[in-house]
Formats: sequence, structure tokens, C-alpha cells
Amino acid sequence: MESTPQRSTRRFGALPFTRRSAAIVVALLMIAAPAGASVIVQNYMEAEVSAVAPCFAKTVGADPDPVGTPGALITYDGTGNTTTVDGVDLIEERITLTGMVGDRVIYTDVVNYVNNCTDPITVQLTSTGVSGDWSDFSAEIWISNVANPANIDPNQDPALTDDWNDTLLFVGDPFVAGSTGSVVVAPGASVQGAFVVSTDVAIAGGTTATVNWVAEATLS
Amino acid sequence: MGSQEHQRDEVRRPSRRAAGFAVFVAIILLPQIAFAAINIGNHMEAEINGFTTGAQFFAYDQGDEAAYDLEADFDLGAYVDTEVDLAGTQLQLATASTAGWWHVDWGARRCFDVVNGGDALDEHQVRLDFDSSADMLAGLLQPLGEDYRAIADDDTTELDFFVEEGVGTANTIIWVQLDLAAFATTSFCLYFDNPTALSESSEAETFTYEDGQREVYFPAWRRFDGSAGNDGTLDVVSYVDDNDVTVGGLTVNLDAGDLFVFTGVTPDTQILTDGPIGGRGRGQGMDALVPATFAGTDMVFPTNRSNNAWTLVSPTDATATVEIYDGTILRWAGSVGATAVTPVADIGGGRSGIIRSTNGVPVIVTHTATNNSFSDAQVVPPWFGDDLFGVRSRNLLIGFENAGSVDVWMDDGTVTTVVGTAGSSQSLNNGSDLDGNGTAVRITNMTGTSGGIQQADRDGYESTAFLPERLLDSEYWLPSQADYIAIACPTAMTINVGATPVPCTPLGPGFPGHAIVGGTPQGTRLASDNGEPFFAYYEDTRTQDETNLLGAKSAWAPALVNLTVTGTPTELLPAGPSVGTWTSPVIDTAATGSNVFGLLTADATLPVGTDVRMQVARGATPALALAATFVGPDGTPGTWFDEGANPIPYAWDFGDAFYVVRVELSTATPGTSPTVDLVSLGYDLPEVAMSSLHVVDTEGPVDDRDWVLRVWTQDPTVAATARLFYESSTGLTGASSASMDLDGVVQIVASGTTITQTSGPPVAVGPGLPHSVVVDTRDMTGVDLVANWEAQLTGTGILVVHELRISFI
Repeated sequence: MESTPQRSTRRFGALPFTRRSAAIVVALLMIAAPAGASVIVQNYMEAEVSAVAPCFAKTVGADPDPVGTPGALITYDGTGNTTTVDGVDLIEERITLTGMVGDRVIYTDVVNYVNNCTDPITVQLTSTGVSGDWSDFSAEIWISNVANPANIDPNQDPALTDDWNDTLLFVGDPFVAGSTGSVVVAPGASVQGAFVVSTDVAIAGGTTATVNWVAEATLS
Repeated sequence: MGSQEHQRDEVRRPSRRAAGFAVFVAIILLPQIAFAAINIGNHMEAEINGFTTGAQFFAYDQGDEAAYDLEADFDLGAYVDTEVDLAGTQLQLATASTAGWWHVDWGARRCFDVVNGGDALDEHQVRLDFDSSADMLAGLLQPLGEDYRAIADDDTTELDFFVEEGVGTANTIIWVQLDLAAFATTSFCLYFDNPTALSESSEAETFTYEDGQREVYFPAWRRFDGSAGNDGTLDVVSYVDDNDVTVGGLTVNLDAGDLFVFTGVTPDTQILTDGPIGGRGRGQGMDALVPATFAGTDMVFPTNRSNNAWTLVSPTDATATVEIYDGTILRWAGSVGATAVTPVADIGGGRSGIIRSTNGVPVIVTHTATNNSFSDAQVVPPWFGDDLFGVRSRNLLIGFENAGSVDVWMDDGTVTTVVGTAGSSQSLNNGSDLDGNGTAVRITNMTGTSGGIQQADRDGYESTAFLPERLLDSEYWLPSQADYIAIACPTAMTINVGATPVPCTPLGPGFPGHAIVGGTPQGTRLASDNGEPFFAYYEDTRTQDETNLLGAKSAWAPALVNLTVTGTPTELLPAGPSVGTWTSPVIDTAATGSNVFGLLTADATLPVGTDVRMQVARGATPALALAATFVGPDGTPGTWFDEGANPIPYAWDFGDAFYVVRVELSTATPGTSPTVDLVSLGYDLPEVAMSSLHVVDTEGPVDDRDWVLRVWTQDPTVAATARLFYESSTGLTGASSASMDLDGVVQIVASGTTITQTSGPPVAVGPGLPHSVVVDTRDMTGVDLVANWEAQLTGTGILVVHELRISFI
């Protein structure tokens, strides 16, 4: 499905280097330094950016319905939204879910974090901000340790199980940025993302709240 | 989720833009580190919409209720083969009482037609004489007929009646007071077969008049002439309370046992009363006050005195043509009207006085002899064909209108057959039987019209009449002081003379018993302990005249009326319908968009083979509700709600405002009905917050089942399964026990301080399904129980969790 980038053409953000050009620069520095003179050395470099599919992927879980499904409690929009970073519009998966007045709703199987890389990745979820009115909402964002975790049992703390990471990402009012624990995902494997939302019984009708987070995969 | 999404993910070094250079430095400074970590950031967003309601909880013991539990409530609805019981508190299947049967608790009846061939008779006593032996053998009667009730032909009105004697025999005597239209047939029924009914038989009520005074007593005595001892003074005693007695225009109100002395009474003095009285004149030639019951057209009086006078009066406006015979010799003939006449018609030795009304108009007769200064007077009873009862005191005379015979049974065990010729008088005298100490006598097997008297007591002159059995009574009041009272009892009994019990025991069947009582004050009551009638006469202390005691059957005068009574065989209570319904009035739930229902309840008692179930019809208007089809829980006519408590389907919460409840009662054993104490429909329940629900554990140590919560899952409109999961509790003691269920599926069980079951199997919930939390508790007062209600949406991992906190107070 997705192509895996070749190590020899690995690219580093906006400043691309090759190993060879780096070695040349070091050599030149070692030669020039004893002279103590101000020397300007111009090195001509080039970074070629290729747009290919990354190996850290997200797929929709079992709970969401397609966007536009009538009466759906939760939908997952993987393509229709973007967020701008450094002037570039990036895909932002948008989950729309329902909080029930006076209830806690547990969406266990919302998203899968998939490692399509050839090496293990370490995944961590970090909140980046909120909007809307969180005064009558709270949310718990969980990431599992395993591919197919047991459903979150409302009568047992997920952190006490092996299936779910011990550290959840909590969002409430006031907002405090935080992160989940890190989860290592083997190549070809995935972990699951869950969402638990609690809604105050006194919430006003039509209230909405939004949380943004980043799923960061670190490839070692 | 295609790869293109990831092509636009942010791929970056850890230190973002400086990372490249840092790696470069790191390579220089830390050559042992071959490569840095690569971080892929994926931006995500979750938007929460908080306007959806998940589960809502409503308290069953709150809200409004349409309840029907009393007759007035049930009457607001419509009965079809159902009715409210006599107590007015229970709905039941109709019995025959709604179709001509007075009351379901009486299992049998015997009906009578009374044909009145004369003028209208108001509050008239009709004497019934019928065979109830089969009823007794069939177990349909209480021993003394305590369960008899007399009901008018409207099947509703209870009539005054008096069970006199013979219950369970071939001759059951019951009196019923009726209003009889002129020349018409009046019907009524005697109901019986109620093992627990208490007697309501009342002679006093039956012979008392609510509609005003009657002229039913006649001072039919020798006209007083102002001579010594003939002063027209009358002693009266009342048999009943609140009895207005008017004699010669003077009215007094007397209660039972009250005495009053009237003066100036002549044979023409009008006497009016509301009820029975006893009376005795003080003067010579005066005797007992004669009730209309004694009117007759054919009488035999076997007396032979020095001079025999007969006072005759017609108790009606009609004039009688009367003949008086000395045996077979006509001594007097004349007309007798409302003004008394006193012809002298001597009776020869060995002959009887025969008094006949030749035109059929009845007359009342007393006999007066000149003996002992006219102190010897007696009432002359009519002939009914009944056995005659009396007490021989020295002389016993038996008269025969025609040649024939009688048997004389005495209390000493002797039986004598006496044969007489026409108009003769036969004697069975015993000179030692004095002052009432002679034998009690029953004259029976009479071949024709006969009469009997006692005569010539110790004083040598006085007489009393032997009375036909139907004129005997179970109660007498003494109108004047007695030197002694002589009693003949047809059956064994104890007679209470005032407070003194006096046993009277026959030797055996057919023989009369005898009792004698000494001096007794005026106004004393004599009454048998078993309600059976007896004969009594007394010697009046003032005049030394033996005097018959006459009972309350004063106005029953068969000779004065033309009545024919016919009866029907015993009927058993017809089996009632096997199915009936009661439909409530339209219930306005005042629903405006939605209405959270409570329970549809029928508190029923179900004997074996019976059933109660319910359906509901609904509409947007009362008229539409009434016209709608009744349906059960699934919304079709084929299903029914059970008796007991039923949650209404959720879908109905969003329906019409007007409801009609139909309750069906059925039985497999007609005559045995289920009963319904309460029909109710709860609605407009308030929502309760999860921590505010309180359940009153009213029963304490007794098992107490309470419908606690109606759980509303209309939103979301998806199917789910739900369960309860125990979370925590406080206050449990060793005596506590509780189980909490969802729709009958046990979820949480507490026994003592231990939670023995923390959760149960999931039950289906969703739109259209009733879903309720019910608790069974014992000694849970002061306990807080916290549980999670968890609904797993079908086909997903989505779980809706709601915390319940129930406080038992």
C-alpha cells in the first residue's frame, strides 16, 4: 500500500544533507580552523523532497461511522480536514463524537495507529490545544499497548491492565497540555486509540468542545 | 486512510528546523551515534457534541397517576359483565345479581308470588309456610335460617322479614312485610345459602309500620256500663321501641316494655299503633286486647257458663251477618259492624258455642260469662286447622262444630282420642290441676273445626282459649301483673321470664312441654331462647281472670284479606359470565411532545383458574382514544399486559395524550371471580439525577419489592444491551439483603454485608422496550447502593455508563 523510504535517500526536514556532503564539510572545517582567518567557504547543497506515504499510518477503528451517517454517535474523517504547519496544510484526522448528558461514554475502538515501517516505532499522543467550552466536558484519550486490547471496562482503571498504556491524555477545564506514555509498535503492527468522554448533567444544549493532539511516531 | 494522507503528515527532526544542523554537530561530537530518531507527527482533532441524551432515569414513585380503587372511581368507567362488590372496593366479574340476582354472596333463593284479590295493602305481613327440608339437606341453610333475606322484585330492596319456626322442615314459617297493590301480583324472593351471614330476622320490624299508625287492636269486650268493676281502664305495654299508641285520641310514645294506662275504653274506642302492643282491661268482662289477627268467620268455643254473652265487632267497614249456635241450635243471628254488639246466647251443657259469619265478613269475638261478676272473659280464636295449644287448669273442654275426633297429647305422656258430635263439647277434666299446674295440652289430628279451652281454675270461673299454633309467639310482654304464668311449649326451649330462665322440655316429639312461673310483675318480658314460639296464659292479679298472652302478630289477619301465595322451587345462583371487562374513562396525560409513563397496574387477587389482564387504547383526542383499538405491550391487539405492575413501552412515551385502560377479568370456573382492588396508570414521571434517588424501604424486615426507575433510552435510537455493575455501598448490615434487577434479570445481589453478585447478564434495551430497575429489599434502611448502568451499543464497542446511587431510607 505505502512505499517505504530508502535509507540512502533519507531526508531531514528543511535542511537536507547527504552523508557525503557532511563529511566534506567536516574536512574543510578541520583544515581551515588552524589558520584562524575568516574564511568563507561556500558549499553548494541540495535537498530533494519527495512526497511519499509515511510509514506511520492511522486507520479508522470499529466504532466510528462514516461522516454523514444519520444518528451516528461517532464519525471519523481522515481526509477532509487540514491543519497548517509552517505554512503547509497538513492532514488532520477529525473525530466527531457524542457526549451524553449525565453519562460517560466509552469509545474504545476509535483509531488504529499503524506501523508500516520496517523498524519499530514509538508512538506517543500529545495534546496541542483545545477550543470550545470544556466546562462541562472531560475527555480521556488512551492508547493501547497491544494491537487488540480488551474494551475499556468502566469498572476497572485501564491503567491497571496490560492492554492499555498507563498514562492517559486527560483533557478538561482548565486545559493542561499533556501526553500519553510511549508505546512501541512493531513493524506491521498497530495499537488502538480510545476516547472516554464524560458530560455534565447540567450541560447546556448544543455545547461543543474540541481537542487537538498529535500522534508522534519516533522511528529509531 | 490511503497513503496520500500520510504524504501530507509532518515529518520533522526532533528540534525541528535546527535539527539538521544539530545532527551535523552530533556527528562531529558524537561520532559513535550513527543516526538520530525520526519523528512523524500526526495531527488529530476530536469534537465533542454534548447535546445528546443517553440514558435518562425516572422515578416510578413520582409523577401523576390515574387510579381507580373505589366504587365511585370504577363507576366513572364502563362495566361489561363486571361489577363492584357490595363493599364497593373491588372490581369483579358480574354475577347473576346484575341480571336479577340480588347478591352474589347468597347462593340460592326461593321466590314467591302474592296475588292480592282485594284493596291495596301497605306494609302487610304475608305468612309463608313452605318446605325447606331439601334446602337444609343440600347444605344451603344455616341451622336457624340466619342467612335468609327477603328481597323485593326490584332485586335490590331488602324487606322486613321474620323467621318464625321450622327452618329445615316441611313447615318453615317466615313472615315478610310487603306493599301489595290492589288486585295485582307482587313478587319477592327469599335468598339463602350464605354460611357466614348473620340473622336479620326481626319480628318487631316485620310487625311495625313505618308509614303510620294502624287500627289493628280492638277492645272487643262487654260494653262497660259504669258499674263497679266495669270502668273501661286499659293497661298497655309496648312490644317495640318508638311506638306511637293512640287510644281514644290520646297518643303516647312507648318503647319496648313501657307501660301506660288508658281509661274510658269502650268496645268502640279506636286504638291506633305503630307497632305491636299487649293490653288487658281492668274491669269485669274485659280481657286481653284483641288483635285483628283474631278475626274469623268460623269459630268453636266450648264453654258453658251461667250466662253467655258474646261481644262481636267487625274490624273492617263491612258488616258481617253472624249466627251464634248453641251446639246446633241457633241462638242469635244479627249484623255485626264497626260498633260492637254483645248478644247473649247461652250454651247448654255439653255443647259448644259456634260462631259463624255467613256472609264471609270476619268478626272479632270475645266471650263473657256472668259468672263471678262477669270477670270470666276470653278471646275467641279463629280456626286455622292448626294444632291447638293450651294448659289444662282443672277443666279442659274440646268443642266440635261437626262430628269428629281429636287427639289430645299431654305433657305427662298421655295421648287421648276424644270423639264429639256436631256442636258438642267434650271434657277432659282434672280437679287437681289448679293455678296453671295442670298439664300442657296439644290438640291435634282434628277432623274438623274445633276449639279448646281451659276453664274453672282454682277460683272456679275463669277460662282461657287454646290457641292455634300459628298464633303462638316467641315473645310476650305482660300487660298487667300476674299471679302465675302457665306455659305450654311445642318444642324444647328455655323461656326467659325477665332475667329468670325457665326450662320447658317436652317428653318427646309431639308432646308439649309445661312450665309454670309464679307471681310476675307487670311489664315483664317472656321470650324463648331459641326463637321458637310457645303458649302462655296468666292469671291477672287484679281481676283474678285467666288471660291469654297474645304476641306481636297483631295485624296479620288472613281472614280480612284475599291473598294467594305461591312459591317457586329453590334456584341456585346462576353461573356468572366467564369473561368481563371494565374500561376506564379517558385519561388525559396532558402530554406535550412526550410523556414518561409510570406503571400500568392492576392489583388483583386470582383464585385458581382466574386471570386478569389489561390493554390500552390511545388517541390524540378523547374521542380518538375511545375509538382506538386496544393493544398490548407490542402495540397489537394480540398482546396483553399482565395483572400486577407493568412498564409502558418507551415508544408510547412519544405518542398521544389520551389513554383508555381496559381490564379483562376471566375465570375457568363461573361463579369464582378474580378481584381487582386497584387499576392505575402512572404518567409524567420526573427525571431524577443520578445521586438523588431515594427508595423508602417501608417494609423493613419484610421483603419489599419496589419498582424504582424507568430507564429511558429513546435517545440514542439504537439497540443496546445493558447491565448493572456494582460499584460501592455503605450502610449494609448483617440483616440487609437486596437484589436489583433489570426487567426481571437479577444484576446485583447483596446479602448481609457481602455483595454476592456484582453484575448480571446484559438485557436488551432500546426504543420500544420497557426497561426498569426493580429492587427487592429487606432491612435496607440507611443503605446507599451505587451501581453503574452500562449500555453496550449493539455491534460497537461504544459503552454508555451512568452511575446510579440509590439511598434506602
